[in-house]
Order: sequence, then C-alpha cells, then structure tokens
Amino acid sequence: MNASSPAANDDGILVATALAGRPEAFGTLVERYERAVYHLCLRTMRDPEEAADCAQEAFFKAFRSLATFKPGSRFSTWIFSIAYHACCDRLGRKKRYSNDELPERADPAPGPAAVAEQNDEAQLLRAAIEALPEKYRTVITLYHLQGRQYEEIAEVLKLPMGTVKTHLFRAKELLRKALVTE
Amino acid sequence: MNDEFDDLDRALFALPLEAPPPGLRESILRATVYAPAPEPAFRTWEIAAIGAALAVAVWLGILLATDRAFGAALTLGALALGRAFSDPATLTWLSVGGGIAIWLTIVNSAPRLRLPIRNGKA
Repeated sequence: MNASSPAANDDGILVATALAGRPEAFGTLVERYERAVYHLCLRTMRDPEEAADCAQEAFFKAFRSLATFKPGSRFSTWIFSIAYHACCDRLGRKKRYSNDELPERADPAPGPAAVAEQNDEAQLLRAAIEALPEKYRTVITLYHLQGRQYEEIAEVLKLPMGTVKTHLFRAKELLRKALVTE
Repeated sequence: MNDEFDDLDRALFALPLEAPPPGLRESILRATVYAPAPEPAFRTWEIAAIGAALAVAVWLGILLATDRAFGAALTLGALALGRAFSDPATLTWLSVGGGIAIWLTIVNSAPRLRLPIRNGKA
C-alpha cells in the first residue's frame, strides 16, 4: 500500500486516463485504495458505519475534483488528505450538535470474550492504537499506511514536519508502554 | 528514532489493514464511475424549439428594421405615446388609479384579529 510501491507509480496514468474520458480507470484506483482509505477513516472515526460513509464521501469528492489532482504528486497522499478532512468535518459536526464532549473512546469497554481474543499480538497492537489520543492515532495510522514518508504524512495532516515527527515519537512511546504493560 | 522502535515498526507494518464492509466498493463505484450522467438542462426538442423561436425573432427583427415604413410608424407611435402622457387628464386618472391600488394593498395586508377558539362555551 506504500505509495512508493510499483503499483502506485501508475496512479497518475490512471487519473489521466479517467480524465481523458475513461472513468473506469478510477475504478482501479478505488480498488487499490479502498482498504487503506477505509482503514484511515475507521481509525479516525472509530465507528465502522461512519468510516464507510467517510470513505465513500472521500472517493466521491476525489472523483468530482479529479481535474485538480496535480500530476506528479502521489494519489495516496491526495486521497488520504481528502478522507482525513472528510472525517474531521464529520467529527466537527458531531461535536457541534452534541451537548456533551465526545468520549475519548467511542467504543464500549471490551467484554471477556473480546479480552480473550485480544491475546493475539496484532489484536493487542490494534487495541493499543485505538487507545491512543486522536492526534497520535492519526499520525501512527498514516505512518502505517504511507511508510516512513514524513513529508506525505505532514501534507495529509497539514502539519509542520517537526510536529509530525514529535507526534510519531510520542505515539510510539505510548504504544510501547501499552504493549509492555499488557 | 527508527532504531529505537524497530520491533514496534515491524509489528506495525505487519498489521493487516481493516477490511472494509462488503458492498463498500460497489457503492463507491455506483456513486462515481457508474453514476448516471446528469440530466441536461434542456432536452433536444426544447433546444430545437428555442432555436426556432429565436430564428423567427431575429428574422422578424431584421425585416422590421430594414422596412422604412415600419421606422416611420414606430416614430409616430412613440410621439403619440409621449403626447398621451403629457396630457394632464391622463396623468390625473393614472394617479387616481395608482392611489386606489396602493390603498387596497394597505387595507388587505392589515393583520386580521383572530379570536381564540373556546370549546363549546363563548
């Protein structure tokens, strides 16, 4: 899924093909990034239904503004940025219309069955990421999706690179602490 | 920084992405690639009708503009209209009519008094 993978190199060609009147080329991009975009939305929204809505909204917006995609830039960064901001808009609306502050964790506490299931290492890591504060969770999710492309992460989040590196460092520290104490 | 978290990085990059719900891709494709083309502002027959009407209007305009008799008639008509509006009697009747129209508008737009409805008893 890393944007530097060979599969990602022809994203620009697919965009150009879609713009040239063959919209089915966009279908290949949907196929390629659907999972990653959904993953980012799920980590940000922490609700599968909302995440699916945000992912759909992101692809819809991307399709409609495909002409604004800068040739030579990474499609992954572009679509992640659209998806992340769609999530932020939705979270902002939710906060505006709710009298109470949103809980730090939207999910209910895991039951005994879920705890037993979390014995798996991947489950533990996933749970630890889920428990991170929002700003660290998003950075670590993009780090997971984009690899060590700090510039790309900074571009998606519209944050200075130094802030991204600091958030990433703190996120990793928190993750390590959480995994050691488990 | 990377060396410090090597094990964590390995675990992180090995973590599979969350699977999207079934049907999400189809739903995205339906909203984008396979979305029906938007309805045109005008249908073909409407464009043909508007075009025909415009063509007739242009033809009539050219015909009238190039006709000397029409030019003279237009000038006479404008002069007659000017004379009519400079007549004090016409202006008086126009102001009377306008005044009545304004008065009727004011009378009809006044809020009506609505009495509360009581059950059975007055």
